[in-house]
Amino acid sequence: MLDTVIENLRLELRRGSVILAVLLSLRQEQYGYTLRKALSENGMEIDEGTLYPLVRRLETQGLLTSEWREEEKRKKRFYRLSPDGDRILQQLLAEWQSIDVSLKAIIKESENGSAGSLLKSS
Amino acid sequence: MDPLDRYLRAVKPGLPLALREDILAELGENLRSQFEGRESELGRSLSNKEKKEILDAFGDPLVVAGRYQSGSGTVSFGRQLIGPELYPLYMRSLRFLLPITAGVITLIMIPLALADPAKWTELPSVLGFQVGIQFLLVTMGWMIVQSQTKKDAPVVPKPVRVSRLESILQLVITTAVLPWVQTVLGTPEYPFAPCRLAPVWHQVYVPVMIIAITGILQSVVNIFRPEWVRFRYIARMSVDFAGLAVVGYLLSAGKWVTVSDQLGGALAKRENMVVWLHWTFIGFLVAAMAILLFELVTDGVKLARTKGDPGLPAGVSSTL
Repeated sequence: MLDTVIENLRLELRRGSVILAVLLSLRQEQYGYTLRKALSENGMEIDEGTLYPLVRRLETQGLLTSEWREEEKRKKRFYRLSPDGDRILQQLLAEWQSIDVSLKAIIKESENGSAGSLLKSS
Repeated sequence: MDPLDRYLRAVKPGLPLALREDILAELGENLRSQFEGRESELGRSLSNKEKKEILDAFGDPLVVAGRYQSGSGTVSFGRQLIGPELYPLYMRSLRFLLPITAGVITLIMIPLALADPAKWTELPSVLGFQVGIQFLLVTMGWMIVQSQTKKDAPVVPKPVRVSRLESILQLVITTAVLPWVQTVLGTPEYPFAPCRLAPVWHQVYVPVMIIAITGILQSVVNIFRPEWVRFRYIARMSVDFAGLAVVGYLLSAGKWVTVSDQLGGALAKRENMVVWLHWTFIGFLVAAMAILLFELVTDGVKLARTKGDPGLPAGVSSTL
């Protein structure tokens, strides 16, 4: 039961950051498989069955551009961050950094608080 | 056929029509690249079995296709019960099953109403009740699937398990057939104008109901416990075996229908009809026996193959 709760919370936590990681990775042009590999090599494991439709959705929203091109005698669809996507990515990164700063402050405060109550009890 | 081609063919019908070919071309290319990546890691070509394992880990074709559906609806009651990913599949199962239910119920009611015209007035309420039950069952089934589905699970090889979709379909179809069995076999010498079923059909009513209920129980168990693969094969073999016994008993009866006097006409006409019905029933029963025998053997082989399967580690849940 507890395992399921932890797993669901972990997935919730990851969901938003996956989009950020995809947008960051697509500052350099990539196609689906190499994008998945790049994310995986940086510790961001994502199910391909989720990643490929997500990339298409981001393209529909205007955050990415794509084109079919031949590479190694095979046609592949390459994605890249669009100018609009780049602007949105900057805003999201600022948001991420703000959350990060806030969380670190909260963690520090809670650690100080628990250390203080330990001292009191001893 | 190559496993990849087979997989893409299974994904295709669930994709949005306007983007279908484009998505398939991209998906096919990405999966080919994935095969090649694995081949370069191993330093050899992949077998079809290894390719199939990669495709299984990629996801159920219907679920993968569902993820490409944009602007898909949801079923919510306070919180989301069926998400946008599964909603197209949920709607498809409703579109498939509800007309079948309505058709089966109408087929049952028409001969009854021909024998007793008062039954016509019962048709709308019976139809509404049965369609409503099917709607609830399908919705609850997909709610269970949704509660077990992780949208962003890391890639892990999927162990052998019973497809929840298959269990839900089995549950819904068997439940739809149950009232038909109850009506036709539960009534002694059921009238099927201008004939009546022979008493032997009523004699097998209880065993057939037990078989149908066993099938329902097995599908319910496998919806909640998809990792119980051996249970499924054992239950199905029991059902196949019991089915064979029932069909064997029916075949041994030698007479399956009686032609009522309502038919009238010349003696020759009635005799022709009896002969025609006799051979039709023999054909039907022999075909049923062959199908059950085939299923018994294939389920037995599959059961033998799962022998020694360590099963799933605790806490691992399925994504269809």
